[in-house]
Amino acid sequence: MNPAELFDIFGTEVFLAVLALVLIVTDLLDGGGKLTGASEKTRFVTYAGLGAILVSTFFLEPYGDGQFGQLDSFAIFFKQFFVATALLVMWLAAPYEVRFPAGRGEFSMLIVFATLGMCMLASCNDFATLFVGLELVTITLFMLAAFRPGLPRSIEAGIKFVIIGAVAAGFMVYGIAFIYGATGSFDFAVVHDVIVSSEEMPGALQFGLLMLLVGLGFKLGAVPFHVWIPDVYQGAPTPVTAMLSVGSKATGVLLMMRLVYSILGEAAGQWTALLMGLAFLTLLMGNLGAIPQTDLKRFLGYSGIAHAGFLMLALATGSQDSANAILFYMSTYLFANIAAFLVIVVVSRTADNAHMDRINGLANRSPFLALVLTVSMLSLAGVPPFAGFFAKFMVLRAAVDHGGLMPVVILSLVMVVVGLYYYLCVVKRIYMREAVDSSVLEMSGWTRGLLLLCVVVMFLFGIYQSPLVDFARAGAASLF
Amino acid sequence: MELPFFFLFGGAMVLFTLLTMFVKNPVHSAIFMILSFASTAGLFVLLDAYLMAAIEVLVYAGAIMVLFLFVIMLINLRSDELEGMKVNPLMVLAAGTFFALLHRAISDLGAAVDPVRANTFEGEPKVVAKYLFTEMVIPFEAVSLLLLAAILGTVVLARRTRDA
Repeated sequence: MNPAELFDIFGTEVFLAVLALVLIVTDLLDGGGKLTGASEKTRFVTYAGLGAILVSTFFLEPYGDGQFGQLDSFAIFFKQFFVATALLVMWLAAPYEVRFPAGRGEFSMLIVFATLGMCMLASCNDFATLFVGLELVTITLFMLAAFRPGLPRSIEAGIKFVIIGAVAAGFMVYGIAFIYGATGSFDFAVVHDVIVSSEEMPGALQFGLLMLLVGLGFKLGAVPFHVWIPDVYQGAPTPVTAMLSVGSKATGVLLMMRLVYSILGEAAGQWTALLMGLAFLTLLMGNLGAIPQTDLKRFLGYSGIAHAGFLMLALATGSQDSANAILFYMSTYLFANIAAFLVIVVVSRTADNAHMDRINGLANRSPFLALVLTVSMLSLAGVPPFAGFFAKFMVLRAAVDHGGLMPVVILSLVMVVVGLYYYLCVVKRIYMREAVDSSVLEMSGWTRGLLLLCVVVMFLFGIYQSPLVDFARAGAASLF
Repeated sequence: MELPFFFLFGGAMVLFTLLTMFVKNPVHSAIFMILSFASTAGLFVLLDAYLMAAIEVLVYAGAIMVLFLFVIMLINLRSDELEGMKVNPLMVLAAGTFFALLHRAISDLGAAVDPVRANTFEGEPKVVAKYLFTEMVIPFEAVSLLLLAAILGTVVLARRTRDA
């Protein structure tokens, strides 16, 4: 064992672990023994720490495949993505934190721990690390979903998440046991060799991979493993919902990509029909389910399922273009979702639900918020000139160029139109309806700054895509 | 010599698991589950996995079942609320599909692995410990972080708060 190798690969994780431990001490000292804990210092340490770690990820050098993990450009891309997500979520949580009467410091720590698990997943190259990393993410998020124990809905979200998550984890670990049984190794590379060298995969291995797909489909929110999404998204505190919808979904995307592009590799063709079928159902379920929703967070949950459908469509074609498209898609999705959830936090400041009536007439109450939410909805819907349009375009082009099943591609085009309908319904509420409550919406300068950042990113990468496309291409390059 | 014991422990495990599912009283369910775990431990002994057998008894039959019994006690069901598991057609369909997949998996294990290899560990704690602290050191350390996060979260959630 070589400690230097460990640090080269898992350096970001070590920093995150240190940050979490520092946060525990800071929170303890700063609170002066009070349970509620003043969070100014804790918050500063969180931002400074996550910011410094984000900067450090840009200095990571690809290390390749080591004994304990791997650090390729793909892993580096996702580490940057996860740390950036954590930073944005903490930033978004600042105006919400007053609603945690206790445990504000613990909130930051749990987010850091979840990020640590996500970064570990980016670097894992064996199934044992994969399972432990995934549990670190999932179990932390279970607790975060129930982080307002005074609200029945939050408790409900936590319990539903625990039960369905535990079942999914059970299936997955059962599948990993079968994979180990059929190949004699936890190592991704060994499993890949067995798959490629055998003419037909042994039944035990197929079964194991299928069970693994159940666990990953749960994280990604793909049908038929999506049932937890609407209730948990609606009940969880809004910053946690943002973390679930971006960070947690991205771990599913990341591991699916490793599974399809690296572990199945040349044999990915055998799974095209299966993945296409799942993409078909996911697109149908997400888009049609979103139409009748009246709660904004639930609505964004269904919208997230619909986006998972597009990502599955790209995955199923298994080409390099589709990998680039997925990374681009995730990056634009991050900013669109953070903007939408931040508007929800501001609009439903004192209330504990996010009913759609709250954004009625938002244009009169705060033209800036109205603009941000409109841009976010249009970007999610895939309207030019926003970044979401180009993301959908890349996915569909990859699917058409690389032999996506035509019925699924056509369905996805129809679903883009359906999506346009329900996203525009939200925009209609903002501009056409009378406000239910016309009190002034207060925002801090930091909140304004984050909203502005998201809008600029969505707009800039919509009209000038090549830097982000190059970034995504560099990230996906090491998969092939 | 192993075969009769395999059928003894395996049969007992299946029987006790079915009883766990279908008896009405949850306390009886829990007791049958302990017996099912004990039979599983017997199967591990037949595979020479002595450490696994000991862990199965200590952790599952011991610690986890005590938690189960505590929960059953705290819920404090009245006798007229007790009901066993009701089977509906959807459950049968789901279980049947899973069983069919499993049957296919088990009947085609692939040639990659020599089944005897599993026995090279001989189930000694020393071998397992060495494996955990060398090849599996990353997941092992990650589990310690997971436990820390779990403790923190549990304390926050269990604490009495003023959130309304």
